[in-house]
Amino acid sequence: MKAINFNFFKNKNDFNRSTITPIRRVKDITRNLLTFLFSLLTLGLLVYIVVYICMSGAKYLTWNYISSDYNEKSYTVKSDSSFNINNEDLRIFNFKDNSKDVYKSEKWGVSFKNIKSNEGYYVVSINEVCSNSYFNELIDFNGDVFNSYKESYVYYLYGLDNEGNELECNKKDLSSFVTTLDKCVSIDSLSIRTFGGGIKGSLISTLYLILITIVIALPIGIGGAIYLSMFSKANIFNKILRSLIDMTSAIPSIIFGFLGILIFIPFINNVAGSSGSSILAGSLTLVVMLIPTIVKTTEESIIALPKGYMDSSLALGASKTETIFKIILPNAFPGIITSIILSIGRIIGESAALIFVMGTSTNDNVLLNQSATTLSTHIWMLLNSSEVPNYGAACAIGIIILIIVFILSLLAKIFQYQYYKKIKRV
Amino acid sequence: MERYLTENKILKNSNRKKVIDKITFFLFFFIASLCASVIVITVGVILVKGLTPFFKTYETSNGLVKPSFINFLFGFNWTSHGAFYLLINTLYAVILSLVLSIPISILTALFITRIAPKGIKEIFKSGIEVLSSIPSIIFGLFGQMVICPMVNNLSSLFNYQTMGGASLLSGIIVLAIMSIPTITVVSITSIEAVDKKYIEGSIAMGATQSETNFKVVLTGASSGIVSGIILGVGRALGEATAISLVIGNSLSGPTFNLFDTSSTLTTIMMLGLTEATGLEYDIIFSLGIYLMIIIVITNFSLNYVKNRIANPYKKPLFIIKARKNLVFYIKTKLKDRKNESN
Amino acid sequence: MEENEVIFKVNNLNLYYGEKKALNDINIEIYKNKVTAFIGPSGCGKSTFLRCFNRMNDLIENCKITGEILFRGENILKINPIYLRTKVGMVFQQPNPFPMSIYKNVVYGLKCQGVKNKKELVKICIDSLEKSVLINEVKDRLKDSALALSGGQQQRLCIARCIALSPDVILMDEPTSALDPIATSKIEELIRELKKEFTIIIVTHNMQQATRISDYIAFFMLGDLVEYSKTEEFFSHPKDKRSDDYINGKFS
Repeated sequence: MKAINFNFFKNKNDFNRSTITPIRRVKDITRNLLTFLFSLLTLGLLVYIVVYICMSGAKYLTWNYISSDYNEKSYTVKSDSSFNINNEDLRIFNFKDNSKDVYKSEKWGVSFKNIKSNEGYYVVSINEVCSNSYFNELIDFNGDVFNSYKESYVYYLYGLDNEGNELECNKKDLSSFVTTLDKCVSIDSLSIRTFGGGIKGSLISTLYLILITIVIALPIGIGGAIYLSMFSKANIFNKILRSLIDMTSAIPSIIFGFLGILIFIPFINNVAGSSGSSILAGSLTLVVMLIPTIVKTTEESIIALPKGYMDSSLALGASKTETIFKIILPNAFPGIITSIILSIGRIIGESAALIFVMGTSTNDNVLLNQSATTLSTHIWMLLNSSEVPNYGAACAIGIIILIIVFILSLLAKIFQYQYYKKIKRV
Repeated sequence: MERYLTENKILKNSNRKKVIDKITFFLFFFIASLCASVIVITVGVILVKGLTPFFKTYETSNGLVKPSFINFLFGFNWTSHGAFYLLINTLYAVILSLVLSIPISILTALFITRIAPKGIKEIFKSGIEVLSSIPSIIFGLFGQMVICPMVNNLSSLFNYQTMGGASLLSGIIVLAIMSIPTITVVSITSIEAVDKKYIEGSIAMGATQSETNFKVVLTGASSGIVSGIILGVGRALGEATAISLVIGNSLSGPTFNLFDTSSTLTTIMMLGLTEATGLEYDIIFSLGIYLMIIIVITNFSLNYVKNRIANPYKKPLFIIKARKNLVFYIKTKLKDRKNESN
Repeated sequence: MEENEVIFKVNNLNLYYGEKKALNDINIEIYKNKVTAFIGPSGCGKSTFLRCFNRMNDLIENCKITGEILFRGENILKINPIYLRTKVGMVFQQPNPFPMSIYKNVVYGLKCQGVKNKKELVKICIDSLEKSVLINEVKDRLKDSALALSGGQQQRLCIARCIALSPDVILMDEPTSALDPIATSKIEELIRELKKEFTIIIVTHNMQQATRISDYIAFFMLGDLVEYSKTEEFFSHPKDKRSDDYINGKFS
């Protein structure tokens, strides 16, 4: 009995002296450490993803990659049958590009260079063709003179030497390529290809998609927001209306892809005379997906306006219509801009629905009633097109997407911040 | 001031404005109804299209096939169009990914809102917000490039051969990484909304900062955190591109081994629509129904959990009614018995 | 009282917010070119009653009105509310000019009525700014944002944009409660000036203000109109015990 009492007292005194026992302290530190580590993990992981994508894609992200077509074009040309270079016709060629890695053929007036193609391997690109070069006298199969060597590389080159032997120029070694070429007096067949694998088509179709989608979705979304914030009375019908719009945002995009296949593709086929997937069908699908976002953002910015605006406008004898168009909408404009920015971000990032509705074949001549890829679906296509995908090219597109998305989300934040600051001041 | 506006003119204007107001109202009403009807049309169209395969006979290489609805609902092999294993796979993957992502996100949110010093807080917060806008295809790309090889290496430690890393585990990790920013951002908002007086009260009672954080702040923010989880689950369940790039797309299951290839409802949809025709194509829409049902059920149950957390003492309505009815029933029975015995 | 022309006549007015009764069987006559002040403790329904006169209560859901209000002998429920609101202007508690220029604020109502003549608009704008004693402070910066004005100036701008429509009645809902004493005194002076041309109904919780500016006083309590009389009479010989208590500060 005594011992127990004694212990009890001792503990109580301890308790009075310091409320934080060592165990509590250790627990405290562990908890804080745990939260710190986990948050570091989260941010580190996400930053690592971004950095990794950037590192892997940076090498591929060239202007050539952005601006060239996806599908390569090939031409085959040869010398005229009567053509051969004899020593009497000595031409002097002035090369403009004299850098070290350029190999010149002084006999033909052409220079070559090793360049990494968009697919990621080295090719013999035609660096420069002098104005008086013999290459400008080659003809294609129709007998027309061919002289568009820009942005292209040699696929194969067979020449004929003095004795009429066929020589193949070796593409692997550029210096031997040029020496072989210099031995030739005429060209039997030269196959040229333009650089393919570029994303120009995808970029343009992404822009089209954004434009069309926003143009259709914005009026609908704003209209819905105006109804919900200005006209809807608190009855059961409007409650259902509101919750239906809310529920739309819970539907996964793949389901909207189904909707696109079942309704929008047939619709566009009938209207625009296309067959199968198209940009128009894709943008209609996106309109459906974006409506809840636009309605929500716009409605929030309308509700955030001082209530006095509407009351005093009505008290001045303005009708509700005038109030909406003269007072409410101009002042909710930053909110509307924010909703546009958020929508653009979603359009750029969307892949699942668009793979179904817009197809996965890249088109270089973008037409609204034909299938095309956006930047995101272009990545999907690259990853699915072969057994060993070209990750570098995919990451290069990833960089573009990330840059756009980050800029957009920063812009949205800035707009929102400015807007609420302005409203608070009023 | 002489009256520039005559009474008559104002009256005429007003009457015209009243008509215009009516027109505007109907215009906006129409637009709002259009916005709302989208979901009705979507669900209706997919229901119709998804149910038709079960009322049709298809000519395939194996002769005439009539898909059975029961087999679709409860079957375990996609080659005979049993989709139940896909449901199990999906839920398994999503639940495991949540086990990873929920603690990480909540602790991250807690650190950002409550522990971090001001400068770090702003950086972390805007960092997470910006990163939450990374589209899913990027996660898929990253998964295929980094996570799959990692999982492959990991499996070789256990002497297990994976399909180049494409496996359930990779899928789970990708889903977890994707849902972390979503859950974190919502959790940050709800933790910031916890009333200061609870926190001060807890500290005034001698609790340490971290005890307050874990016991008071997290409890106070729990309903908000659950709504973050709802969003995260929604994103994970509906995710298609990223997960189909890493999970390997097996055609039968269910798969519980983390290193095996697996497939979810959405990955089979991606496969089917890009490759199949005929029955293989039509039955994909039936999966759409399945997916929507699951999303509705999880949303409702999680919302129920959220409401219970928000007001723990409020009994759900139907239980009260049921009990009242029961009490009434027993009372009347007892009365009847008394009357009879009398 | 007989010599005054009646502009508003209220008969047996009851007002409900959903189930709750906010105004209880009110009968009152408002006289032309007089300042009528509604006073009473907060939550007594005086602001609600004021908002009945230009049907601003229509905007509030579940607000139900029985009885009738006659404006120049016509039931206001039968008048087009848009027309009514041009004839019965209103100034709110918070100064709330629109975020546009001062000029645009003043001519907003006129523009909504389809007045397009620029000369006329400028003339009316300057006229109404003169009447609201604001012209000297803003005449060089009519194109500036109205939000740059001080609180008192903003409130006078709100009055100016109200009288630009040349209404018959101006309703004021505690127009000085958000202002400092100097701005308040300016507004009070303005009100005394304005009553030559307009009928003014003002809600105030400040008894001194009511004494200073009003001709008639209506005292409200818990949704009832307790007493309605001339200002001097009300303060010197209150008929009702409740008015007496209120004047003597027994409750507020």
